[in-house]
Amino acid sequence: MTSFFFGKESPRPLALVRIGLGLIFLYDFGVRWPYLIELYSSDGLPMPFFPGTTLEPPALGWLPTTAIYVVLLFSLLAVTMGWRTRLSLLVACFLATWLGLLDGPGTFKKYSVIGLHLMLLLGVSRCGCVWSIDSFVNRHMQADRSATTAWPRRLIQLFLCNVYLSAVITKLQMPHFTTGDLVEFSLLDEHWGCTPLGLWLFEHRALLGPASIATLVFEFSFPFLVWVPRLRLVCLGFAATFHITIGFALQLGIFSPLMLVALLAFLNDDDISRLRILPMRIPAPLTSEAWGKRSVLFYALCLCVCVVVALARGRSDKLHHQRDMRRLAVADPYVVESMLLEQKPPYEDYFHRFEIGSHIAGFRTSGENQRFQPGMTVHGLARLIDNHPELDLDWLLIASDGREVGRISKTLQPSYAYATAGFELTEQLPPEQYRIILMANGYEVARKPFKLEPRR
Amino acid sequence: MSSDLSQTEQPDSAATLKPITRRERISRSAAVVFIALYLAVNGFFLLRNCVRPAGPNPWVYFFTWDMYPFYRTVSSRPLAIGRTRSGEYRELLPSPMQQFRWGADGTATRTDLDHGFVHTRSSVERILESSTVSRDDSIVHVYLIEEYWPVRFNLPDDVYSRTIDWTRAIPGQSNPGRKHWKVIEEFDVDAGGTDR
Repeated sequence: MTSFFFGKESPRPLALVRIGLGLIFLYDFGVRWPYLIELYSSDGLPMPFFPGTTLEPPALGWLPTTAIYVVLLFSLLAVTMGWRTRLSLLVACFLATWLGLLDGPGTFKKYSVIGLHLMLLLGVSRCGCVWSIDSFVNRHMQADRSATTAWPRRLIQLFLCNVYLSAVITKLQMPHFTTGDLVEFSLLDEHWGCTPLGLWLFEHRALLGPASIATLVFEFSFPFLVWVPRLRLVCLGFAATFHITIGFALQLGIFSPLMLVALLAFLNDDDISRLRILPMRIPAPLTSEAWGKRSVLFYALCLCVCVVVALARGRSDKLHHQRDMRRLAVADPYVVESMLLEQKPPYEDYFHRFEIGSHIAGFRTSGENQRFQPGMTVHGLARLIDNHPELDLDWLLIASDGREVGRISKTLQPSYAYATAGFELTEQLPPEQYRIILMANGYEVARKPFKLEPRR
Repeated sequence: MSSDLSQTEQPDSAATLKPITRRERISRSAAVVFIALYLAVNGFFLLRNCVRPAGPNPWVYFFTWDMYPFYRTVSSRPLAIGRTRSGEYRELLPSPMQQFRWGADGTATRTDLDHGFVHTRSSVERILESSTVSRDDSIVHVYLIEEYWPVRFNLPDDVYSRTIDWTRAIPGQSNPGRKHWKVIEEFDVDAGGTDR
């Protein structure tokens, strides 16, 4: 245990994590720069993540908010470049938490918290003693390059294992995850889904169930198998594939890049040495130790210049914002009146999916779905949206001449999301074209044709 | 002069034999305390997540990794309409104040992303404070409306016509894109722009 946490090791894996993390957060907050008054200032529309609790930080006016934002961006740049690394990491962690908590819907997400954990753990490490400005300007860091203790990296590794284990526990507690329904609905979410890969996966819905189960297997096995030396790189390969796929299938902001960077903590120095694109030989310090002291002044000077420039820009943004606030568009009265009528949706809109098949298992139909033979059963399955009203469902088996040859009636309570029915195709039914029609409260909502062929 | 890191990463056995200084001892003790605390807190919340879902305590959010805690079968967004003294209707949400955008088509505002509508009313109140139409024709009544539709209507037309083949309409139909509304709250506003 002592060697696990306190063994000496190269700082390069954590330096890679630091650089990646800095770049990711720099991007994440950089793209929000034009909206900082709206998102984080009391002059805009702050939407605190935990309103009315101890974790609701004060929203300041546009001037201090802009100044704080610049300090955050500057500290993230310093994290990336390894300048006053430990201080910059802790400043970035504090300010990212403060600003993030002021904007729940647009900024603060579960992956933000993962990033904050990484910043905190990097802040107690010596990740700045290599591939950093600090290592160039401070001679004493030369010694640290080979003398860093392993525990910050171990904590990051254990933290990631915890994330995967907790995620699999949550998913196991949700009955609709293994059916693929949870992923299916997420792929169609207008905020987090609807990506080209997500839409392709939706068109191949049969993959979603197995993919969901594969996710569970991966998330459960990773925390145990990644410690086996022979399987470490294999696990990392699966993890990278997993997160890259998620990154293209869903719009989850910085989640996938963040997890990919965090996984770098599982690399060791030999792995990094194989990546020949990275500089393996580091030049010696260029300047004296005195430079290290002067760098604090230089750091402060740069920060002041950035703040002044940003405040000038912020003033312009503030004026634009005030002008925008005064404009209120006129609404079409006919549209408003139709909204206020609150008409109920047609029954068809309570249904998400309708399918038929020769087999049914795990809330999915399978097997044959177009051609059936006497002796088989044709199963119908309907997936409804949540919070639907109580519905009287009638399943009708209709022959080609419009004659009703079978009917199953059921009442579906609002708490049930699935409706199923099965028609046994007896020898008495003549081989011809049939269709199954589903009716809700007397209105047709879905239909599927199939052909009954003579027994071969 | 240069140094090769790949040659210096092996544990230095000679260094481990050196007597540990007082500073190193304090540093290691602090590290042990940090490690123990961090693992204990994470372990506690891992076990807690096994037993019950995250509760209302906000601190839990920082240590619970319950990814995918919910999903939506219906898409929705809040709208706010203000009625002026003269009977004219004005759009309060979405507002020109909301410049930040997100989502598949880059049109979702932050109030759209606020799925529980936690901040809808406070946002409208803030907009009302800042932007009265005019003193003579100010907003006197506000409707907070939920616009909702099934998530399958988020599909592009071509994907919809290929995948949704069971509806009553003719095969190959395009996405109907119907939207529905319900009033979630309404309130009067006094002349000063504050609700009552």
